[in-house]
Amino acid sequence: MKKGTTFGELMIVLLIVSASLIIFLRLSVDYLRSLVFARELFILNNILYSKYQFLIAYRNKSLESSFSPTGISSAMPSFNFNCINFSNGTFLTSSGQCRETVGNLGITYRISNSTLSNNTGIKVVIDGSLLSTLGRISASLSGILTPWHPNIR
Amino acid sequence: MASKHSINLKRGFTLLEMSIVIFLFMIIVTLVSKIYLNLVNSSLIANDYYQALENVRLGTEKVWRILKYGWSFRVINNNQGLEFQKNNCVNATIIFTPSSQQLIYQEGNSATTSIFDPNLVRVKNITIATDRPATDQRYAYFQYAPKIIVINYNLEIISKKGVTSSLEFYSAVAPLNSVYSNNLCQ
Repeated sequence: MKKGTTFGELMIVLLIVSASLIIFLRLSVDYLRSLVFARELFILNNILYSKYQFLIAYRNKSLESSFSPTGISSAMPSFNFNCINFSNGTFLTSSGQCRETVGNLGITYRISNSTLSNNTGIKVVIDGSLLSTLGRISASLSGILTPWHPNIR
Repeated sequence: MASKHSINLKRGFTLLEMSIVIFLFMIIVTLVSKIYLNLVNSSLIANDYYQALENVRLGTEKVWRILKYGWSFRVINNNQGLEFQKNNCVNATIIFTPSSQQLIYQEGNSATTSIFDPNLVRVKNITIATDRPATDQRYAYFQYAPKIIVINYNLEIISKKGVTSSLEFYSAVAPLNSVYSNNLCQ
């Protein structure tokens, strides 16, 4: 007659209460993790895209020296570097590991390129990653650079 | 005897037992409501954050697009502004104003507009740099047309809940018209 709750019943109740608390807590943490992820992927994508713009500018500068009013029809040369940067108005290129710090984030990237079969341009691939509190976030960007130059006359 | 036994069976909870149950119940309710409020807060902050991030994306894309087709770029205001001509040859300026913590865009003599929504994004600093043009070039525009414009955005994203988050990144533009040998706007 005096029977109360058994140890098993207590354990089940405790399990249900803990599970519901953990699910609530997990949802809240997941929201914040998605914020961090969105922010860091945004920064990484911007860095990779700025590298692509550097390559376009580098190509324009290279083509400029052999420019004539009738335009350029030579084949696009391959880039023999992995990293491109910019400091004091000058492009800096190098091989090996490419590292960059933006704010408090360390970003690594690498540029690879291959000449297209018909020799009308080069395919450029820029792979990058950053190490965040969520682990390693990676992104890749690819495009084709041609020896395009306007013929305005 | 029988009535005495039935009185024993009807025994309820003691005050102590009730107090313990109510105390435990209150603790659980407090804990759950706190977690629930945290969840709602996180969801609101996330919503604000995504809105702000989208605003930053739109703003930077606008700047990128204008600069991509612009002419005659000149860095001004101690690397915190840029003067140029739009693709339709109208003079335009993008400049950082520390007092309002905004990036301001002005086209000709028209009213200034903010690149980012001041309620969502605060601009902490902007640094603009260009490459050195090749002054030994034969053709006029080559001698001052930069091949690249690099903008460092140092922003702060604001949530209505008062939570802020810093967002610093680079954006680069290789202007399309920098490969022309003369400025078509002149």
